Amino acid sequence: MDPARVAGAVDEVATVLRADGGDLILLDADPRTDRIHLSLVLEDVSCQDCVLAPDLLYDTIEQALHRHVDGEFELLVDDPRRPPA
Amino acid sequence: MSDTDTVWVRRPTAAPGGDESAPAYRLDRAIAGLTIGVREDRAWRSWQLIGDIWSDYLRRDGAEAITVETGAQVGQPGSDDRKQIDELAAVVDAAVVGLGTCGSCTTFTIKDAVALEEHERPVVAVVCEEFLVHGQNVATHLGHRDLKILVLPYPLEARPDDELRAIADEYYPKMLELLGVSA
Amino acid sequence: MTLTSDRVEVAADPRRQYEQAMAERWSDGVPLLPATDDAVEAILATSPYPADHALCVLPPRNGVATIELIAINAAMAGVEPAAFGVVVAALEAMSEPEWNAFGLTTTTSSVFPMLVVNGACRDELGIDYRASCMGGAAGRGSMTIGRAVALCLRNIGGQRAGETTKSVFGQPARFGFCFGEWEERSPWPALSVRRGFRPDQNVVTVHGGKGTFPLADIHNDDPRDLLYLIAKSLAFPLANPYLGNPENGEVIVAFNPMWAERFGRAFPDVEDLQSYLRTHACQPIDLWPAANAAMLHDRGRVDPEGRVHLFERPDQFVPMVCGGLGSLHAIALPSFGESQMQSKAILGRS
Repeated sequence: MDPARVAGAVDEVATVLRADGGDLILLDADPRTDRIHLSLVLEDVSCQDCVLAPDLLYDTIEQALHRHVDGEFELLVDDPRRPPA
Repeated sequence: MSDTDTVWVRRPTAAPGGDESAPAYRLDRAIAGLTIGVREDRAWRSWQLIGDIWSDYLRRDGAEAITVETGAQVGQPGSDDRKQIDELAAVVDAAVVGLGTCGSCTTFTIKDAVALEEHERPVVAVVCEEFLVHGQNVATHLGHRDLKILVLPYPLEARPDDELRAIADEYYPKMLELLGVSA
Repeated sequence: MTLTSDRVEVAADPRRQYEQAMAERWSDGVPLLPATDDAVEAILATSPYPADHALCVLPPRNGVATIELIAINAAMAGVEPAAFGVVVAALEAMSEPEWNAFGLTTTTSSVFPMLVVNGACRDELGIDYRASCMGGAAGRGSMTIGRAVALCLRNIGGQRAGETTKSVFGQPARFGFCFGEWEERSPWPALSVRRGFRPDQNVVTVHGGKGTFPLADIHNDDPRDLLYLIAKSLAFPLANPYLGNPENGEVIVAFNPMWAERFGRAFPDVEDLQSYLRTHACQPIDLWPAANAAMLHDRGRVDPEGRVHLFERPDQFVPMVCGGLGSLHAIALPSFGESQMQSKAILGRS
């Protein structure tokens, strides 16, 4: 897993979220464990319901990553709309 | 590249071990008064029965029979079994070792028979027909090409007791002959 | 460097070379690379042993495995020079008496050496430990190192199906089987560390495994329930440990990383997980028909509750983590029984 390509994919999705005042932060992309950990930031979003629903957002992020990242990865997204696991 | 182009490579094979053969031994005397070891195997009920019958016949014929049971190849149980064979070699005049009726048990039957032969004891290894060539190969590559092997029918394990008794009766004299027992 | 093995002239054409290798009986049935002097010398240059060093004697025909002969077989398998130390360490491990090479190379069983690699060399040498690590990932190390060991058994040890080995079925691992542990996804210390090596060492562990035994579940997320089912699956009634000594042998249980995480939370101490497996890897004596049950009774295998345990001790259950992130699966590598797994540090790369 190439962390630079992960960052590129994350930025692709983050750009869309930023238009609504949100953001997507890459916390970690570890090639030793193939884990990608992201954090969704919604503090400055006026209408949280307008942001993609959690499941749909997760799928969108995952698809973007698959376009840029070869092989398998485990995706973890800290979404404030969901309680932590 | 033409059809005639060649390249030199190195041969990847090794010569098999066992060029020399250690001596094998014969009793060349009657069985009465001797002590004969019988090595049974915990895995094979059929051989336990045949071994027990032969032990009875040996006693009938004036010999003392000592039966030992093995069943392990590694670990403490394996060490204990190999030690038991060495201890048996010290107290017997000859031995019968079985049973080779699977791959690894044939290997260890031959190994234990060889251990006894290395103590200069006449010994017969008992191997079922399907595993004879394998047993002969193992004996050869351990340097004991002339080890005597008694071949029993295969398969043996699931036969009923009366068939096993008949086999014990039929092969007892053949076993004695291989040990070099004279009248 | 002076090589001493016989030189053989073979066709340069790879298809004719394949036919010649088959005719000479060097081959496992799959095309080989030519063991030219250049190829062999490049491999020997990485070894701290001299070419004529007799590493071990390989059964069943007790051929002497010199470093040169091992290198020739490694060259044929396509082992890169940097990976040769893994082949040598694996053969050293198999030569330990407790691995029981003589028994394992001649048995009717399907058992064959299964190599598990720990350490940084996994990535350097292409030893697979992620998705499809036990077949299909196509890492060069995984596909060539195991094959080199298999070729050594064939060509130096003289292991030939139906002749010197009585294996009834063989198994796919007889082509060669080498994979790694995904240490970074394991909630427990690496297998090599649990076996007494330092975390920074490259280590190969050789297990006498009868095959790959797949386990799957899609219904139960409770780690204790899932592990219970795994334990019951391991104790299948025709498992080798039920035929022989329960004190000998091990079973490797490979968990995918997602299950490993779950088990790690429930059993942070791997020894507790092993104890749990040992407790539940048993079957009621009534499962077996009378002839089998009688033998189990005779050997003292039935406990006061009428259960027959697969193994004597928890440490005979050997958990490790590898495989892809698709979850849902574990794989057991069942035991031959009369063999103890052996580990060696990979010389020159520790």
